[in-house]
Amino acid sequence: MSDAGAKERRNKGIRAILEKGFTAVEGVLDRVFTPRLNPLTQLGALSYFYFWIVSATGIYLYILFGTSVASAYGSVEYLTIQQWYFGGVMRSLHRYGSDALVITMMLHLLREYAFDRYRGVRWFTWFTGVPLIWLTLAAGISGYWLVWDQLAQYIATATFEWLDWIPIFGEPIANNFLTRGSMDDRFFTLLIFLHIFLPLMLLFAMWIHVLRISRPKVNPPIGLALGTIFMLTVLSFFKPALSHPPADLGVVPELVQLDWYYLFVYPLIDHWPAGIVWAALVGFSTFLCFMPWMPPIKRPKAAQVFDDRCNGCKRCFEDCPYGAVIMGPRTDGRPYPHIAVVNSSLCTGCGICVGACPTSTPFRTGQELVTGIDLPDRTLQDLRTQAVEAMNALKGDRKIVVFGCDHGVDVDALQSTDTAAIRLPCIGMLPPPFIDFALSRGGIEGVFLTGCRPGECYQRLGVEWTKARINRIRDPYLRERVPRDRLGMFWAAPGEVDALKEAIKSFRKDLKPTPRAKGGENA
Amino acid sequence: MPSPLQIVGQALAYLVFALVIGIFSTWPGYTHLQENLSVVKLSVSHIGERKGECRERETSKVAITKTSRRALMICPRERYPVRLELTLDGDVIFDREMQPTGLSSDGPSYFYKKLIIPTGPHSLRVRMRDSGKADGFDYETTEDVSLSPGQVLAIRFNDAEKTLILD
Ligand code: HEM
Ligand code: SF4
Ligand code: SF4
Repeated sequence: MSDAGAKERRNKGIRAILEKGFTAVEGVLDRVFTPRLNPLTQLGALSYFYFWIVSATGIYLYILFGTSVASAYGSVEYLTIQQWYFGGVMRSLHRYGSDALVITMMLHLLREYAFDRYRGVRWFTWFTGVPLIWLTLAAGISGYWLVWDQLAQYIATATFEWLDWIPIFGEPIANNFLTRGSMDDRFFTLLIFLHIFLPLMLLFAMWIHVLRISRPKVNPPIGLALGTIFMLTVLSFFKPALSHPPADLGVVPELVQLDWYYLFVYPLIDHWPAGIVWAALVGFSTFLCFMPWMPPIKRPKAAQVFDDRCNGCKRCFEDCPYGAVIMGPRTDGRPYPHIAVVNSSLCTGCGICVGACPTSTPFRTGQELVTGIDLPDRTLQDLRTQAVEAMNALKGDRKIVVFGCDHGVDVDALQSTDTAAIRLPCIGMLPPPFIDFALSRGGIEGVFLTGCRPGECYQRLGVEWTKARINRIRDPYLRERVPRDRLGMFWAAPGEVDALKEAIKSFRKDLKPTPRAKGGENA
Repeated sequence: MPSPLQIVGQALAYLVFALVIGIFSTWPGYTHLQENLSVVKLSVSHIGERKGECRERETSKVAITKTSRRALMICPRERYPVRLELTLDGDVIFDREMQPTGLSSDGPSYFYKKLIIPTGPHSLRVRMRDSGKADGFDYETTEDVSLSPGQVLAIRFNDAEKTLILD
């Protein structure tokens, strides 16, 4: 048993506190929204969705936007006041969608951190997430310039004064904001260009961000999408986005209403020297970038393919949540065109591929169990040995086996005289024939599966694939002959020990003793 | 179908989200500049005098490079640094010397400085030196101004008229 893994998987310190916090709030939201629509499990997808809202509304605003210094303010006022019922709503959705994006992005960051999903092979996704913060903020800030009101004047001047601190531009760019008449259409066109270019860069970076994830959730479920659009629209009617008075470079505005989600750095720029603000932001970003190695996660060995057992069926390739399996050309002369190949730098050792492989069958106990793809740290052969020994040691008249995982409730604590508990790196590692195998052994009356709570699989797809295999909608199917009333399931967060115990208790109570079990030990 | 309790719960969750977005998108307001203050922006981009006089080349060298007439003269490209000083009601509030930019120190010296000063009447004196002389300045402008709250007074150098201007 991988006890090093067991210790590693438990969060400590700030991460543990955050994890508890998220788990508690998500528990409530699970009940309110149902697990499928729980917004906290959809933060990446929601961020994408807000990006699309902002893009779509932005196109409308641009059509009616006056692209010169003289006409910009008036055109936005026209949208806001004369066309309040549509243009105004578009403008408000554009603003509030952007604000929502910052909120979901930062929660998403915190959450990936809290659940320890940023280290190991996930470093790439985390690392490429950091520039998204800069790009999002820069895109939003550049949008505030275009209104060309007093707020625009203030933040544009401050931005370029701040950028001028880097001595690469020669003539200070802030000269464009010096006094009345300094701002010309040529420079204003540059600002408009930036507000189109930065979001495009953001989109490109968002694409890179999910490049290494297979089947990333980039679209929220429709129920959540509609709910969130409705919410933003209502907010837009109640509190339409408004402009400050028009910009006047001859006068510095005194009081400005900042959108704190985007403009929080401006008070800092006012009060700290530019160099310090640079140091703070660059320092913080660098710190974020290196978090995946502070400290690095202990990585289990990558999955290993046994060429002579692999028939190239592609199931492991289809099921791996990290795109770590590729199908390569076959060279060993067997009559299949492909063979599975594992890219060890992408493999988290979750074992989901082992659960997917058609050769992962525990029957024929006399033979050594060699499967097509296996985990060197936790072989299927070990798993079978452990399961058989644990089952043989059971006593009582309602014996059950619980299969759990490293990231849900710790099932080791459930081990008792009538309960065998087996822990896997991910419940998705369990090949369906193991369920059949356990139930067809004399005396075992129930198999119980547990793992991460719904929508929240640490290994992303393990729970989903397990359910699909049992429900016979995804290969490898659980055989039809397996009596479904002897199979229990409960998905829970690590803290929900009592709820799991309760679920197992009632499962056991409902189990009818099998005729075989009455007879004795072996069938 | 969601139960009534779920519907209420979802409405509540959306309401909280809407409030969080709506409130902090404009509140609390931020006072960038106190009421009784005004701004002076010093913004001067100016090329200092050449560091050396142009002189004729030695004839022997001309023989080698007599491709252009320009080659008859050698003009050192390097410029003097520019010094800019601003005095407010008798107190020096800005005094800095900027080196010329450019790889061969032949570009302009740039000044950009935002100074916050009290609103009201002031006497301002700006002086600039762009030659190599050890003391004193080459340009000077003195003006009495009365600044209103938030007003921006820009100080620049007009290259055509060779004067420092306040506007
Ligand atoms: C515009 C902002 C962002 C968007 C649209 C976005 C979107 C996404 C999406 C769609 C996923 C896939 C989720 C899944 O299928 O499980 C994801 C994963 C991830 N994101 Fe982001 N993200 C953003 C910003 C960030 C930031 C700022 C960070 C942290 C620095 C970050 C860290 C991660 C990590 C570590 C994962 C990997 C999770 C895993 O492998 O299970 N993201 N993101
Ligand atoms: S162990 Fe997990 S990550 Fe590694 S190849 Fe198998 S499914 Fe992919
Ligand atoms: S699931 Fe097994 S048999 Fe199929 S390709 Fe993968 S390793 Fe080969």
